[in-house]
Amino acid sequence: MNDDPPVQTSSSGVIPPTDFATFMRNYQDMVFSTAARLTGNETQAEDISQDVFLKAHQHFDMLVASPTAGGWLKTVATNLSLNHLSRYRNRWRFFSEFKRDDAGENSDAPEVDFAAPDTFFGAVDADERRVLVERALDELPAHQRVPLVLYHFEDMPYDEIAKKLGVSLAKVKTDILRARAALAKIIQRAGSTAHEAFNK
Amino acid sequence: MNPTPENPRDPLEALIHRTLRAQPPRRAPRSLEARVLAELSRQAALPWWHKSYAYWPASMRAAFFVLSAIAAAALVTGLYVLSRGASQELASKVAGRFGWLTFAQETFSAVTGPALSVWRALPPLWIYGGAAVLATAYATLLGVGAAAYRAFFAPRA
Repeated sequence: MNDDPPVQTSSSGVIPPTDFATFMRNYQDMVFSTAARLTGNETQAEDISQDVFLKAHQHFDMLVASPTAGGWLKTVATNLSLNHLSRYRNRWRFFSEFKRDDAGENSDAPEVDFAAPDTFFGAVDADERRVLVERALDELPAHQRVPLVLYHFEDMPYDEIAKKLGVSLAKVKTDILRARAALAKIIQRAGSTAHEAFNK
Repeated sequence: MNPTPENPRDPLEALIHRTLRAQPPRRAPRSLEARVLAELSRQAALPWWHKSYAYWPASMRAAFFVLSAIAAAALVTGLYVLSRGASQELASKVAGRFGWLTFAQETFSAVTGPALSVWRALPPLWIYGGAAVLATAYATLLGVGAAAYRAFFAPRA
């Protein structure tokens, strides 16, 4: 599932990790991305990334020559991010989610009607597009963002997401459905604003 | 694995999938590498007794194991000897050293005795009424707090 290749390369290709600093440079963007997209917070993502690499250092002898090192790091980053979120979720659940928790159990939850265009972006350049999408993800509430990220970025099937998050399959499907609609609206709004700015 | 959307007929799912999968990784902050290396140096500089047991030198782990076994054996033997009454004199000496415990217990009883008498004299209706008022006040505070949080701070979809 997570056998991603190293994400940072030198001009001559992937840097072979001979020491821990090089190993870290090869994978730090991937680890940080995973944590940042799940938590929606760069400061927390940096703390989690630090913990991931401290754990990696303990197993460096095994990881340095392993072709699945990327997968190992991604799994640890995902688990630490989910642990971090669940600590806060348990603390604040009553205040922020006590009504929404039951929504997923409802089999007749309203279908989201959204006419999807072929693409969100017209004349928006790639850099701006990347920033817009990341910002839109950060704007989603955690109970929608987390299953969406696990599904679309981490390739996790619905039932595994439900098991990981300790919620029902119906809730996962409903949250992902609503997350897509909310994300589409945010991106479209941001994309059209950017498009207008571009055309001025 | 979800290399393609689960429901290919849903255009929104396909569009979101394409958009998200086209995202490059986010760039890690420059400070991350320095932070990790500094933390590793700090951990490496710690003396062995500040680290977890798994990182102790083998000789120290062996010595700790032997000493723990000796301490456990001494404790079990001591308890056995005392329980058999083999040394009544020793037991009375030990009890004499802890005479202050008896004094502390008597003082505690003198303070709590009157309070308990008042508590027992209260009619049950007063107690249940007081508990109900406290529970209502607590629930109201929690409810107002939750409503205020949801109204002013909770993220919206």
